[in-house]
Amino acid sequence: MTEEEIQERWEENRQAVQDAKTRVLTNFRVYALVREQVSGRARRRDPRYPVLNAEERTLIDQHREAWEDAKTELAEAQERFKAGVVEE
Amino acid sequence: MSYVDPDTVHNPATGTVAPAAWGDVIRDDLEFLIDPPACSVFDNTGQSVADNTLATLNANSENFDNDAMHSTVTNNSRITVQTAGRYEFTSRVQFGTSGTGRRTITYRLNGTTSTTVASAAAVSGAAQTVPSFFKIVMGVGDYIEVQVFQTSGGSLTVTLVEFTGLFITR
Repeated sequence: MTEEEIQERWEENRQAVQDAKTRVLTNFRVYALVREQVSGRARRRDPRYPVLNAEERTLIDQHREAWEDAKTELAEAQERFKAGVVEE
Repeated sequence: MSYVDPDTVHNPATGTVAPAAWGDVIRDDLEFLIDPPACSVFDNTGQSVADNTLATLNANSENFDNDAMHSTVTNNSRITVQTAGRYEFTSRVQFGTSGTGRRTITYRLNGTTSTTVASAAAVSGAAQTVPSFFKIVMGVGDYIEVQVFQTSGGSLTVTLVEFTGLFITR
């Protein structure tokens, strides 16, 4: 690999870390919003016993998983950055 | 996770019950406060630096790095900032024994802008360690490298004993 290619790949890896951080933040905000909306719906449905139904629990779980997946991807992006750029 | 304003998750004015996500934000923000970006690297071999020549020091080892700011493989002279903010950079550089000339440390930002952070007269009889300190506002992707300049009249073995970047405030 030429020095230029190495630096290009280095910069890509660095940017990938930033992109992953943004996804973690975005996915968290969506997860938080979904939780608040779903909880609010349950409270309006029955203020004394605001229990979530199965569909609502699944929706929250899905968004939580998306947040967790984004955190895993961030950790992987950080590892790739630290591993540097080597000849394949 | 980077700092998130708790108000963006729940504003107490709109309701009396803080949602669970608000607790997540508080927890993550506190975790950021107790473990802000920090990176400390060093070189365990030393490198030969010619007389009267500006040289960039390598760091082939790490003490700690909690924000993917350094690689020991590629561009290992750099501490690269991943979280924007105000940073303090410090270093200790050891010069081989020589009582002639001066020992100068500069920090180079993004491969272009150099700032002299320490300069000392040579000390004879033993290896000489020169410390330095530097505070600077860093954006995402900005990086700092340690450079040295020595005028002993010959080559010296120079070792980056420690090079640390610590997040101060955003």
